[in-house]
Amino acid sequence: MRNLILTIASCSIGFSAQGADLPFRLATTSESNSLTGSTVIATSLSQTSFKTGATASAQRMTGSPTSDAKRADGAISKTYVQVLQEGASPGAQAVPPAVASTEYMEYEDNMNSAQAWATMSETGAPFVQVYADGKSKGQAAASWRTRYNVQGTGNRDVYVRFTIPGVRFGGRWSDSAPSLTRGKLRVDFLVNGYPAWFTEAVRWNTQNDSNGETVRIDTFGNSIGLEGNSAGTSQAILTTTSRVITLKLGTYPANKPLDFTMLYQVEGRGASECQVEGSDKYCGNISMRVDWTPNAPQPTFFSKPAP
Amino acid sequence: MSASRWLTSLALISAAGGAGAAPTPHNVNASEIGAGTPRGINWSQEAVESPMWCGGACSYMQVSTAKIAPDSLLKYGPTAWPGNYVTTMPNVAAVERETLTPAGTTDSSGREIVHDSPHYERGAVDVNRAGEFLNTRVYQSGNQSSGGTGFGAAAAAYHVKVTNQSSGNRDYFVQFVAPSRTGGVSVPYYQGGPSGNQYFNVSQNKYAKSRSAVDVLVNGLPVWSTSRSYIIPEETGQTTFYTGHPLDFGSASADDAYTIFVGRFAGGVTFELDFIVRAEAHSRASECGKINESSQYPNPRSFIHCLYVNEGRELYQANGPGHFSIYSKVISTPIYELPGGGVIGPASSTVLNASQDE
Repeated sequence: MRNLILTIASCSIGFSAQGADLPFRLATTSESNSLTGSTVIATSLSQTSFKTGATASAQRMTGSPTSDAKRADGAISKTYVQVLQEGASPGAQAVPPAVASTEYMEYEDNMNSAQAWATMSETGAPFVQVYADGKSKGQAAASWRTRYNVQGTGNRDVYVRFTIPGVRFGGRWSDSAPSLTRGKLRVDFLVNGYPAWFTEAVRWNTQNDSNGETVRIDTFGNSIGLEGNSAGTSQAILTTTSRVITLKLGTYPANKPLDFTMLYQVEGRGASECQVEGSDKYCGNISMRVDWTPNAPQPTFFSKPAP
Repeated sequence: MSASRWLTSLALISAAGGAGAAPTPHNVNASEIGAGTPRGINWSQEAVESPMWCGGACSYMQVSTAKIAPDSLLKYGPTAWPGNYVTTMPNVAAVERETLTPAGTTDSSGREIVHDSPHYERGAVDVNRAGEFLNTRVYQSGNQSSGGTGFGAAAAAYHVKVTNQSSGNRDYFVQFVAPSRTGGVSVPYYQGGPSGNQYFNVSQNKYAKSRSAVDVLVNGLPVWSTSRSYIIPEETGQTTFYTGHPLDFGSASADDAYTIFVGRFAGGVTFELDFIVRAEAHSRASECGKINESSQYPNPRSFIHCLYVNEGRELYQANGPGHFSIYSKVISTPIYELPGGGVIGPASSTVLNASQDE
């Protein structure tokens, strides 16, 4: 099989071209600080003709998914779905308002069940969350998109600045209902459909020699502060704080149209059923969340004269 | 051969399997996500209606990228960014970044040194006689002098604007064979022991990870996706273990063909469709194994076996079988709005957002 790899690799040599550099990169501190003054034209998301979308899906592994999607022009899109094996509904609703602690399922009442929230606000603030007990799963995605026409005259350097909210990855391990859980977060900023900036993290567990769990987080793409957890931790909950990202997108002639999309996605699932022992119930859990920060500054696009 | 080497070899076989078999067909109703309005569909009726393939009503922009460590920017193709929209489906542009392992060198005994890989790092969208592939590879630690992690990444993205040029509503579909995952892992090993003929994995502190993904977005929301990560966990000490963990998300893509109903759009409406394929591989494992041929061989060689991480996706030629295509029909499916807001219609043959279970 090693030979197969070598064969494929050999075949490819000499037939591929090496291109030029795409202009996307993180802005330097100096560049970021330069995005003020009379020559810089700042355009917030809400000053463009933007659209929002949100979709969520929840599913018990033994049943069909319950899904919903919302879309809006220049306004909030929000949805919430749940699937409950049994018991009373926690009465959750789409965000806002923020999720109250009482709006999460109780596994002792609901057993193998899942909740999923997705919101994209009218100011580009996301909220996505899945909360899954036992053998269940959930997915949530929220996005905004717009067409930005490069402002000004002549050739312009174009930047974008957005806030990535804090994230929270959580879970519950039960020795009486050990469950392998898998979670994924991805955030994409697309320019004409290409992921100019992205971050991705997978949260996964294994059963260790003590019959507890070892949790790992492995990351891809740009950092949002989740590194350092790939060797394994017994810490079930990991969080980050929000951070502001400024990207240089390159130099373009004024009035050049660029399609921008910002997409937040979370997903989580548990592999094993909840267990009942006498009057006691046990369930594993996984939760994946991008925090709701409605007061964060809007995503903003900057155009300044190119040197 | 050690048990773990067998395991990783088997993983490689599994990843490469499936070629040549007829893909399993799947129909997916993603109309609610795609158009924002749920709509039932009778797939039997869909099957007998003639499609209107998206010709001049679709405009396409394609970009391919490649990157290795320590590049700060992405190499891209085709020749201009942003490219112009075209009204025929463009093929993926080829692009590559790579660093090569030394060739034609000998050790102190005059043996030719032969590496398992011709590259320390490689990120590429390859277009060649064998087909089209997204390939990322890291061998050893990518020959990073700092001892840091080697890295290779590649992506191919299509951005499509679809306009309903009819005067009335039309139902839109995207059809494709899921780009199947290619790649696998080879572990570093050497020959030794009392007999001199036993294989052992190299003991070292290591970390490797890879992931590949395919996403189809309509107006900025995902209507279909698949993703696999493959992790050899980071270690805090030296071991001979190279056990990998596959983490799958989204829909099946080993040998699967999809028809996705993305919704009904009114005459004159334009919607955006993105088809994004990406892969990357990382490896930090500086120690390699060596197996020398006997000096009594004619032209003896010294084989170097380092940790070798491969991750990629198979692509398809534009306008050929398997490549994504867009068509529309008019399916007269009755919709009944329920008082509570739910929707019923003829049963779909699919499950929305179906996922693979491990």
